[in-house]
Amino acid sequence: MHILQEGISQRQPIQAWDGTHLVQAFHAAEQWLKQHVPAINRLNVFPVPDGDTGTNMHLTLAAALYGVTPAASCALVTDQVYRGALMGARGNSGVILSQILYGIAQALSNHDICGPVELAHALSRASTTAYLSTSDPREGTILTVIREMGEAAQQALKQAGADLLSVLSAAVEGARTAVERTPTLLKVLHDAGVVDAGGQGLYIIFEGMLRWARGESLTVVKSATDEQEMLTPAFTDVHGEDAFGYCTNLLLRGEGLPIEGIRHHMDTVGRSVVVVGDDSLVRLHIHTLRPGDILNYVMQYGELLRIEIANMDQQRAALHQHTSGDTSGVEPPYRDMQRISSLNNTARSTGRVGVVAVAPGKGFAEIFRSFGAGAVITGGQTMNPSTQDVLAAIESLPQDEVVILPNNSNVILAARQTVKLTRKHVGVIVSKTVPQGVAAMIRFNATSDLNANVAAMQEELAHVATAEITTAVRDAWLAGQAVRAGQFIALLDGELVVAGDSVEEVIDAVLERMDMGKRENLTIYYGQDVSVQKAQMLAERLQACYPEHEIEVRSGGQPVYNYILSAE
Amino acid sequence: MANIKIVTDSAADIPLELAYEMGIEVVPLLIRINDRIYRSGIDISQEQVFALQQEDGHIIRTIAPAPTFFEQIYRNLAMEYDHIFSVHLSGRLGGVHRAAKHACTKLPASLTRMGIIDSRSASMGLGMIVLAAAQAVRDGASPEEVQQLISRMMQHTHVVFFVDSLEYLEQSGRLSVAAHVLNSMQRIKPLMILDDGDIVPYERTRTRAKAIEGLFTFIEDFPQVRDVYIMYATTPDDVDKLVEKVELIFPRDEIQVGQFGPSIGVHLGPGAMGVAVFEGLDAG
Repeated sequence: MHILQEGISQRQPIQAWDGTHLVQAFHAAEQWLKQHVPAINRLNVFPVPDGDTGTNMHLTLAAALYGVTPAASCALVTDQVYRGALMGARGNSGVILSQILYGIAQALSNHDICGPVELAHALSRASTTAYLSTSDPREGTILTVIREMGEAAQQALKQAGADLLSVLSAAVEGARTAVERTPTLLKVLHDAGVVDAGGQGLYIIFEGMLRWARGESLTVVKSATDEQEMLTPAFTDVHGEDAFGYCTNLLLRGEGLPIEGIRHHMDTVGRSVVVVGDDSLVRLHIHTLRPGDILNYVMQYGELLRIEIANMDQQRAALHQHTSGDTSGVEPPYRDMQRISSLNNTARSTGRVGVVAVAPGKGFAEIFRSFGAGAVITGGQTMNPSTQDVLAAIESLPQDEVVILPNNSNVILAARQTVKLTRKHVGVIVSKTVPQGVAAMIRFNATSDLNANVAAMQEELAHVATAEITTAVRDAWLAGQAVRAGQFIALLDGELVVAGDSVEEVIDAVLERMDMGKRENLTIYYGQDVSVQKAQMLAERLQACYPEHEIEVRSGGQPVYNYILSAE
Repeated sequence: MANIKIVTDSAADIPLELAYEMGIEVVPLLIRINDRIYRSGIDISQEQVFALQQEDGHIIRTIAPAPTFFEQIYRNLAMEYDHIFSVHLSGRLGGVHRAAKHACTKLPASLTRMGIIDSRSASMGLGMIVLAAAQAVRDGASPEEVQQLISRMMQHTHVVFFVDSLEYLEQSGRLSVAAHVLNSMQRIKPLMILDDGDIVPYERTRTRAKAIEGLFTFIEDFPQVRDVYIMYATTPDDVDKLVEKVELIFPRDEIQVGQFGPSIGVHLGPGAMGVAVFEGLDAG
């Protein structure tokens, strides 16, 4: 839809929006957000390659606007937008965005026109509905951002001569400062050196609206400084003079190189320090503001073989090209409907209770089906299904009682949304990982009732430890240790716990943290990029380390994660 | 007083000394290992069966005794007893009941009053029924009373078990009905119950610890329990773990423990465990 025409930039700001203005503002926001998707995706707490907050928020907003017909009344427009968002919500940030749009729709439900008073009220209302959408509201997230936007808007309203534009700009400014402060409120963000992705997405949405209202261009000018601002707006505040500028890599050759001494020195002059090698060859990686000083320092010990100094912005731009392949071309927003596959055998129609499972790969999908899941939605890890996807899967089942296994912490909220959208009785199991989902699925009993199943399946989650092995997509910190982009990392039940240069090393280290003494079995689910032979070799090696355990190898077929390990 | 004999088969898992003491005639099922045939519990022990199962390459099957074998036994017993109750492994799990029934048709009707009964149970589930019947005979019950006791025992005796691997049940073909539910891509420790003589999936678990917990929950869920009999194949330590749980709800010294015999063990394999529960005849 091309509502935005070139000529708009010449007109005067509008004092109050009617429904048609609001539709245009939303489309401007969508257009602006779309261009920021890759940058928002990279704002991931852990350096795992499945950051998708930007994608999720954009798909949610695109779904919200997909069926909206321009109407004269703001009430009619916001109601349509909210309904679209509710169905299209993907990921936790998408669900919260849908609740923000819900608050706006509530506030404008009796208003044909949206002026400064209505806007401020709508943002305050949106803050309330957003906080209600999650059972565990945390500061330093999109929630803080919408709340401070509402507060900033209310403040601006009190100023003499306040108009729609001044209130909106105050709200956007409020969003910007709130986003910047998120790392001070949430330690994981601080540790990762990023701002909250959901908050950033919300800021971008309203910034898009503001730019439209001001008649400014809605095309992102790609410049290094813009992007750095996006990624680390709060970095200088949080880290002060610690801020880094250049990623410096070098290879040093010499005799009797004091590797410990070099490492110690590097720790005092930069971040993300990695010094590896022996006394004749040392490889060094550091983020520093003064790469020249580093070179001068190491030159005293030997000869420099290779030097790479990259501006961090350029590194990110390069990374961006690797990871942002599939974020464009999203219409229609429900393109994933065909991802829901249902069983057509008897298991599906027998039993009182049906199961909808989200599975990030063919192998996992087969496993869930083999245990009686009537509908399997593929996706989860890199493509979070929307509320609509989950709802369609629920409705595809013949049963009136349905258990949902989200199998990803970022799908749980979208799954919960369906409870009030369907007439069926739905129970959502809080499975945050696929192995948890498999364990719960094994307890599923189609012949007992919904409550008994939910209780039994939920109970199962605590007995599973999940390790996910992948590669870091950027440098990060882990308990004071530097993790380099490209290194293997392991997440244990969602937390980054180890990093290393080889898969084996990382798996060994993570298994040591999995209480194997108390476990009976270990299942290795290998990803789509891992061969069955490699997985078998891994299993044989681990069997030698853990002779008492039953070790099983299964194709998970998941993208991104080389291995997912499950210990029970 | 009527002169009554109780007959069963080796799938009842009643220890031979106990059977002898209670006057129960136990017909051995036959175990074929590769090309040789053994009488269960007589020519071959359960330890030998479980050991062979853990080696590769042996084909181990059970065979029901031939009808002529039963005929011989019944003819011999008929010379001594007026009534014979022959209570057997569920007809859905083996051919022994059919063989007994067939043998019965060959006997002259005038010979003895015969009752050939499909217990719809197995292992100690069957064993408990048979032992109760034998006790009733000792206590002087009439044939009608014994007959009635057996059918009521059948309603109040329940069996649950799990296997370490579904391999043996699958090989033996005993899983045909339940297979589509149990057969899956994952290694699991499925809990199964005997329901009207069939093996029916009860609960799926992933670890022995949880399967043992499942056996306990099965017992715990009965409002009243008269007898508990724990059965195992190769893991006496796990029996101790279960006993520790059960003794919280049932007197420890009344918990009975026994090993699966070769006839049942062939189908379950090493690592299997089970529980038979008798609720009492007055249970709802």
